[in-house]
Amino acid sequence: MTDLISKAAPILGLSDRETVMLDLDEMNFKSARYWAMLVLEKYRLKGFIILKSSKNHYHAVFDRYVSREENLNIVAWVAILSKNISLLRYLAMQCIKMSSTLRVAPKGDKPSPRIVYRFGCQDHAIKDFLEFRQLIKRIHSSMQ
Amino acid sequence: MPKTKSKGISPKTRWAIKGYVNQGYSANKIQKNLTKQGLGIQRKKLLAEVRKIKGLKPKADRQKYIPKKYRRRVSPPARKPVYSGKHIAVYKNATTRRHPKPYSARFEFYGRGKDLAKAIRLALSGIVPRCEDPFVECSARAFLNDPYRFGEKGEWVDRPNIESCPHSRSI
Repeated sequence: MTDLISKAAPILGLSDRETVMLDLDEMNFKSARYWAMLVLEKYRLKGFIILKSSKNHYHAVFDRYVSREENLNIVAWVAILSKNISLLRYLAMQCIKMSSTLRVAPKGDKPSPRIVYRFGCQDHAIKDFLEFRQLIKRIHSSMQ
Repeated sequence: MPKTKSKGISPKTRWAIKGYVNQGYSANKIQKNLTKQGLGIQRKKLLAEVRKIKGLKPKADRQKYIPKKYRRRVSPPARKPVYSGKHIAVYKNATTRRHPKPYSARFEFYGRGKDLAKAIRLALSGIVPRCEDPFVECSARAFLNDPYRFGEKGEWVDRPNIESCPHSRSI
């Protein structure tokens, strides 16, 4: 089988409207965990996981399903308070597409994001996220 | 306990059973008394009615006490919905013959696992969204049936390295 995943191949990600996902770029793990915890408490999102995308780049996924509007509200709240330009850009993309996307497969030299922290309930949106992530990873590995 | 009325029991019989149950009669005794009064009833229906009046829950996993050949055919557990709201995003910059300048392009597929795998494989083989409609959201099955409805031949490319001009700094 030919290797379809070359350096120029597109990136595979998971996109959803009702799962709260944050792309926490340019911040260390402690800051990422701080913001995730703050959002969890303010919006009662039950639980979260943090995935490490690369050095000082983290993703956070929350467990409670929310409406599209609430999702935008949450991401905007974090983006404004944290003054994180990358997160503002992520919010803008979310507003354009009306769904948020997180990378799942490797990108260039970066490996696929891995879970580094778990907190609270993981039975709803996180469970579905991890199942779908597994599917994407299987598809990706089948192409290599 | 289901609230539906047992079929084939007259209101008079039901009323009598309720009275006997409230007095603490056993099912056998109730049945004998009912037969004496000319209100004979099938034992299965009587027991169901007694359980209903007492508010007893049916025993869990009753099917296992019934021989297989008498078991009611149960439909297999419902499959998970194909579209669960989550999409696979395939994204990067793309170029086509008509648009040699790279533009940000994205496919978002939803559907079953096999269809998704095939659709992604097809997209990777050189079908990119059109420049006029760079963000495409479609089912994997529809994309497989007619890929050129959603995109055209092209190449996925890396983001071009744009070096900002030193004189054009923002103030």
